[in-house]
Amino acid sequence: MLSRALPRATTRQLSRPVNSSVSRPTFYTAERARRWYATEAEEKDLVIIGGGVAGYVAAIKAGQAGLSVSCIEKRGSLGGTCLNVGCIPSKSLLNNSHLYHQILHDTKNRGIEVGDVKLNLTQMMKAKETSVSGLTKGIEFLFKKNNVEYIKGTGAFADEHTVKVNLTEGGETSVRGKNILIATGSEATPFPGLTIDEEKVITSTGAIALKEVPKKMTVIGGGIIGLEMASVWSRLGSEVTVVEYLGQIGGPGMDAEIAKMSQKILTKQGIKFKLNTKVTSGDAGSDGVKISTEAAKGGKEETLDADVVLVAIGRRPYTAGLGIENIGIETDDKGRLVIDQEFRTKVPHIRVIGDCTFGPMLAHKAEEEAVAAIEFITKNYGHVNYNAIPSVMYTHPEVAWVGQNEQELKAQGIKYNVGSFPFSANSRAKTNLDTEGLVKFLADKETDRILGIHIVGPNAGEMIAEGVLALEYGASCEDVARTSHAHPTLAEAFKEAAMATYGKAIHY
Amino acid sequence: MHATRALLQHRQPMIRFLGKRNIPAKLDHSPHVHPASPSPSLPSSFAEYRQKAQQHGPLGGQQQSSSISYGGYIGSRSGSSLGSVTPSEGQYFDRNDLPARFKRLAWSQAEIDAIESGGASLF
Repeated sequence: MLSRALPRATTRQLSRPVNSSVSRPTFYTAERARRWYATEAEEKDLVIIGGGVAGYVAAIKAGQAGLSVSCIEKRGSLGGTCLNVGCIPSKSLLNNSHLYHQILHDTKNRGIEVGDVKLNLTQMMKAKETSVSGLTKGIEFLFKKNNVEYIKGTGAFADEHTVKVNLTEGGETSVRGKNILIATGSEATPFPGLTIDEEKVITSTGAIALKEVPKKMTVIGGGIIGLEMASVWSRLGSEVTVVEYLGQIGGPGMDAEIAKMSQKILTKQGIKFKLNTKVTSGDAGSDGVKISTEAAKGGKEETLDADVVLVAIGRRPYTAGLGIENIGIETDDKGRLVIDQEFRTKVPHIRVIGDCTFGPMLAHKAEEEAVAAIEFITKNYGHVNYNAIPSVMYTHPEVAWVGQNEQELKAQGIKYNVGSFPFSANSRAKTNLDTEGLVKFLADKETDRILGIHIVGPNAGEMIAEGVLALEYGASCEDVARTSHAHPTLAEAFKEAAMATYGKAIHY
Repeated sequence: MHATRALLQHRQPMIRFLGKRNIPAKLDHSPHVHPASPSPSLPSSFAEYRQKAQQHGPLGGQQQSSSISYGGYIGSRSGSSLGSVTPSEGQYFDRNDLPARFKRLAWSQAEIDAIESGGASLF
């Protein structure tokens, strides 16, 4: 009926050929398609704005489901913050700086004599870039394999079904979608009064690309990103001071006992901490950056000098230039796009996933949402369990947790049992001469059901996967403890901590 | 084997095989607060939009038992399988109720100039 009610546009011929060397006015190329009724352009089943972890996983999943998909990304390479300037490059630097530090300080007692050990920072950065480019190109390959159209450019909503794209290589185009997925991610929150130049005043992006090891480095923010970068540069020889407003490191999600223990270990590694401390102002000059601090509750003032200051006070949703005002979808007070339980905005065919909406800003959370969002489109049913999303800090030793921490359980008045097991009593940790840390279980006092698992220790990031599975299945500590774990492995510490929660551990 | 059986007589594991995963038979697709949202309610705009929006019939109309209700399934099935979009007898669609993408765009000054100058202003 509508097709009869609305006249279709006919393709008009230009009265004279247009010289292609002449730059065409914007409306000629982009608006022309919209001048007539919108029946002309091909409509995709799904248009995704953002080719980061959320966007690219959704694109591949949708391609696998047989949908016609376009993914718009402006960075020039896929993978978003995580692959290009976040998780992946930082893990490369963390791994290689750990090796360097270990070769410098931890070989003699292992019976390994090494000669002159030197840092080649340029090569270390090249190794990082090789890892990054290999992975980003891998995603491009997966796009081709799953028939995903990759559009390099900046997308902005023209209307509820149309996204106008400023192409990276020049010119404009527009894509129309039956469904549109916003996955534009997040950006580092700037510190008021300090201008980020990514050389002296840096965010995590600058921290993975420094050209030389700074003599002194101040990190504003003792969360996961701040501590990982502090570890890298401290291992490479920098004198690092971490300034944190709260009374504990690791952010509010980390269990207080675990936070205290990891702070102790990191202090032993040479990182200095100033907790309960507020940064009041900063001044970047030619000879370095001065940071003024005072006690969080007021009082004691201090000035810290550094060659480089890393601003790691958190991240905020990135929706600038997206044109959400053109379609009237809302953000909350923190700039997150408001969605319902099926990731839909108020406009039901526009969904939002990843860092630019609710929930923790974690790549694996974004991946889960990407799969669920596509399943909502194709099968009308998807699932993400926000209570079983792990967090990992890739320092050495690593810190990992899932579920609730002791502070949260106390605040809710839930009665619980605690069981822990130190790596110093684990055979594999002993043979590795890497025994710092512990595994800690929190379980319901009455039912023994696992409520939270917190690990500080070697390989914690890998070990937490078992904890996530247990939590997802609603397991009890006894279920974990009665499951055979290979010997000798670090995972035995996990089993024994579970045993210690409802009974007693064997080896401690 | 015997030892395990003897053990299980006294202990029922909490981890159990629940069977193959299936999509629940009954699903409520009406918008609710996202589980990770700090706010206890959705903005009123969600309901307001659905009241006036039209996609294969009014979105805010009576909840349909089929899976297309509230747009949960948009684009995943062909238009013809979703049924007729013809209004019932005595009902008419007003062109003004259609989404903005179906409406005429206002002429921009640049376009007016292009027409008045016979296209010369384009170059």
